[in-house]
Amino acid sequence: MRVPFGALCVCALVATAAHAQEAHAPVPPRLVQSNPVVADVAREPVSVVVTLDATGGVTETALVASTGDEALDTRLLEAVRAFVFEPARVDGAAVPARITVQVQIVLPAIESVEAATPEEPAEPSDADPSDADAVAPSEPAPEAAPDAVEPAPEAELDADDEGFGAEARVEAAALRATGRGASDVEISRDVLEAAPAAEGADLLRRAPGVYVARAEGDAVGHRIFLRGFDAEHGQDVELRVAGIPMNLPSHLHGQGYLDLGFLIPEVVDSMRVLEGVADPRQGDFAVAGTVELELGVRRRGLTSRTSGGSFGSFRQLVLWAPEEQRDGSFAAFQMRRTDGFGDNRNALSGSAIVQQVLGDGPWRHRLFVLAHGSRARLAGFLRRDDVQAGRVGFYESYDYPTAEAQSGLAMRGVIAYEATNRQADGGNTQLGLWIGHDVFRLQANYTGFVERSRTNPDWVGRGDLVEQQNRTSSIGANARWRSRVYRPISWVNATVETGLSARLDAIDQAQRLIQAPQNTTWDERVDATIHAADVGVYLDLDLAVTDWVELRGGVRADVLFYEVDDRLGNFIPDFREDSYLLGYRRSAFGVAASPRASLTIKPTRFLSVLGSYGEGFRSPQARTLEDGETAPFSKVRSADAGVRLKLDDVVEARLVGYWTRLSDDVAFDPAEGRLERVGATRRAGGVLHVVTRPTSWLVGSMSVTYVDAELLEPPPPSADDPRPAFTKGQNLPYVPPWVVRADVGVQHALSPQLGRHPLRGRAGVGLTYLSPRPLPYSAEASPFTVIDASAGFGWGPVELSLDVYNLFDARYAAVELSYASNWDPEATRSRVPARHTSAGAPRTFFANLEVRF
Amino acid sequence: MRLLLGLVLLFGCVDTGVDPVELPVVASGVGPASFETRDGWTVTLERADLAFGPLYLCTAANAGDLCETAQAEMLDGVVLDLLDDEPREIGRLIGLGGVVRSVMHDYGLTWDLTGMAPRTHVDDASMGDHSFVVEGVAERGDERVVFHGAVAVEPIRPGSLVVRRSLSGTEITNLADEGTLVVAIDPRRWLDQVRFDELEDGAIEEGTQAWRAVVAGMTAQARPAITWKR
Repeated sequence: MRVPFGALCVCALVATAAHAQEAHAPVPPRLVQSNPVVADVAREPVSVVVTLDATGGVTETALVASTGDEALDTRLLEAVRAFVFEPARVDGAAVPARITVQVQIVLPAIESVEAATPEEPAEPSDADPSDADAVAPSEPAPEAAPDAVEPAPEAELDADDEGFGAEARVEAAALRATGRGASDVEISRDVLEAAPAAEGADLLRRAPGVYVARAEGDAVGHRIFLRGFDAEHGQDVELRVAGIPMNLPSHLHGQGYLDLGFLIPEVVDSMRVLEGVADPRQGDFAVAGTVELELGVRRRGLTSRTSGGSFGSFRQLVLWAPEEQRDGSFAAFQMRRTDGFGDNRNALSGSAIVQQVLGDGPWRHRLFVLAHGSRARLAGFLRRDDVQAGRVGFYESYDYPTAEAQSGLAMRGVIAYEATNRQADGGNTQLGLWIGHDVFRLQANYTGFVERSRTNPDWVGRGDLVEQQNRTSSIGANARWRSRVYRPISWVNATVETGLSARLDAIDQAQRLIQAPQNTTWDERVDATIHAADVGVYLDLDLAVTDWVELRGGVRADVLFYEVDDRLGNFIPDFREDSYLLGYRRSAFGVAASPRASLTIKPTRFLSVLGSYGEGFRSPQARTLEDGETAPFSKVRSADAGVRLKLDDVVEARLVGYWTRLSDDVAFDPAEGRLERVGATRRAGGVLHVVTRPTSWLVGSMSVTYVDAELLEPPPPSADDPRPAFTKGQNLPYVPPWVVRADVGVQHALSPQLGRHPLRGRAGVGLTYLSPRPLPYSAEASPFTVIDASAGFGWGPVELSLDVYNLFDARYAAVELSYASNWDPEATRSRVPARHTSAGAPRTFFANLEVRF
Repeated sequence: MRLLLGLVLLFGCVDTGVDPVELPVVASGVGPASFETRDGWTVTLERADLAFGPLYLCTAANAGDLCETAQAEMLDGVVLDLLDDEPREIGRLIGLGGVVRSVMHDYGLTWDLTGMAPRTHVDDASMGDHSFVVEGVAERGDERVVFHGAVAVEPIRPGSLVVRRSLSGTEITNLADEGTLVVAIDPRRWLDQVRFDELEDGAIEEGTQAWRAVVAGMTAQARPAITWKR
């Protein structure tokens, strides 16, 4: 693959010097994964001699010739040490080897690289024979024998044929610094791919402390939990895809609403999760943290993946990644349908994502188009006592028209353009523009038959089928400028970055009660138009003091403006005589200033001590504002401290303690089907995250997250709400104190060659555990463990695999709520809060056939 | 893994704020003794059966629309013999710990939000569709009236309850600290203002002064007394 412009590309030209026995042709080591290399300017290719042990691990690196830039030399060697190789083999046995990797440095940022190919006659290995003895004690130690090493056939090393990680990838120097404390995690692609992902949102579970569930069904946003935060549909998690903010402000169904249904897992190239607040770039909704997804496709060509499975599920993916273009360019289409795993759950969705990277020289241009649509019938929440009494099945839906009419519809379109300029001195500039439109419609009945019409109080008992409509049109821009590296003194490197983000949203929203099946309207609750503007600026300073200390930080300020036309405001109750017309129009604004800083100390090459502190904010739901009110942002203060241990890419472990305080939290109110304020909250906890790659074909990741989340100042009882659901000092509802996630993936060639291609195999397992969670009104949700697994075989361009979700068929509630409801119109109404469950999917099989053209 | 499980057990407990409660509800009448009314009638009751329930305990100072979410409830409807002054358990109160400031209940006839009309809530054919069935003899000098009545006390609209009262002076701060809810009902006061001499054939019928007096006593002037016993 050629690099038309600017990426930092590593063409690993490998010469092998493996130990080998005379009678057998050796298989040279293969470069299977590389890590980002930091380089500011384009240079001539650089050769690096790499010594590998019998496991493929890098034991020694050396430059053939210095670049003349000591810092660049160091960065190159560090980067190459993190490369992952499959070991050389002789007669099937792994042996130590030495190879020469030629690193070609060019601009721009992103490019893929094909697998290593043999270059020159192998040179003798100078590995200690004792190494070989340790590997294969029963056999004579392979001797360095240059004439015994034959270059492998080119086809054998072709990236396409090798598959399963045969492609290596190197990214350019980061456009900006990303290491922001102990909780800034890049989830690598091998971890993302280890366990099966039924949809794009499942990828988020790979991050520590994250749990994602389709609580209400397809076409309704995911419920996201992140490190002690029940982020509902996104209120506490800022999500950026290709640099575009995806949260929807002042959404009727939930502040910062996110529906990740558009996300196609196969095009997610990298995921950065910054838990807490530490980066001045983090904006609205970055309360629990920020997730940044970059999209790209490494396996070039045309790919078709057809999946069929349990409950009439079907998925078709068509992925086109032109060979001649860099891997940031692709077009993907996905269609999914299912009859659902129980009553009232059939769904159909389609997504298309197109990303085109263009440009030459220091300029790069990215065009991004997203289109998504989904409609689903929803089973809704069931009273747990009804399930236990057998009045309704766990996977069923209530047998009333008002329950059977539950459904959701989502449509979203985004068009974005981004230009990036990288200067020769390392400075860079970015400008992005985007527009988006989102349509949301929900029919959901959470409470059964308890509502009374405000418009006409005699209208009762018609079923609490809430209809919500929300339409958001958005336009936004972001820009940033980052300086070159300044060296005020020889051991200090400094860069400065300034950035700007702006967005304008026009939101129409309505909420009504409707009576199924005719969908006649029997009450109106919301009818409003909102205009919101958010302008944010930040300053970011990056200091590297010697090689051991990094200090990053700055400040961010956001100004938000709101104009609200609340057409049902100043509601006139039925018993009061009209003396004015309905409506309440108002405007408000607010300013949020937030300092952020992170510190990294590297006492050794393996160990880092990290800390960060930051303040962030969440914008208010505009309809809650009064005229002229200074918008009461929910302010979060977040501190993290921890250590990171990295042992030659074999093991990377982080142990982090964190503390956050949120000035004004919100929780879901089922009666209204939206979020309501619950007061200040505090969280303290810890995270243990370990990623290990003991061999080139095995990756394991495990995270354990604990949180003590406390409600500090719940709203006091009032005339409107004399029986608040929350009490001071209680654990935060819905938040699991413990979240455990483990992923294991293996992939390996099963035979050296089967006809024209080797037979490949892979398998993966993902485990999620959630401990008991407190619910409102003293209830407690049950813990659960869910295991997903997959296994597949590939041969040439064809791959056949089987995914099993919820392998042991655990019966669990994806989400539990506690509130008063009445789902038996013939019985006396219960008014005491009860547990309600939304079923998690039972064991589900998916057979997949992937063909690459 | 063993260590992990240990930690989960050690720290995984959650504080959900309040405790669930389940308390017995006992009720008692007044016994068969005769009593004298305000107008000088000596009344001897031969039957005084009352349909009671459902019962809700509320946090709001005033039950009613502000008690959409109740602190505790007894949903069963029962028939009480008010001539029995021995307390007996009539049901269980299911709910959550916390403040109780008011109560609301029906007299065996409820009007659900989904119903077109009130319906009986007790399974006792002898009550018909009534809340209170009373029989007895009233005597004043030479006058002697053998009376009988069947009073239906219905909610006035769907979703509402006929008795909504605050517990001024007897409100509790935490239901979980209480033992037994005691309901004491005195039907004598319901008959206290009945003009027995105006009854036709001794019948307490809807629309009569006697009927109105009984209903007023049941819903306002002499509602069941609610106390707590630990």
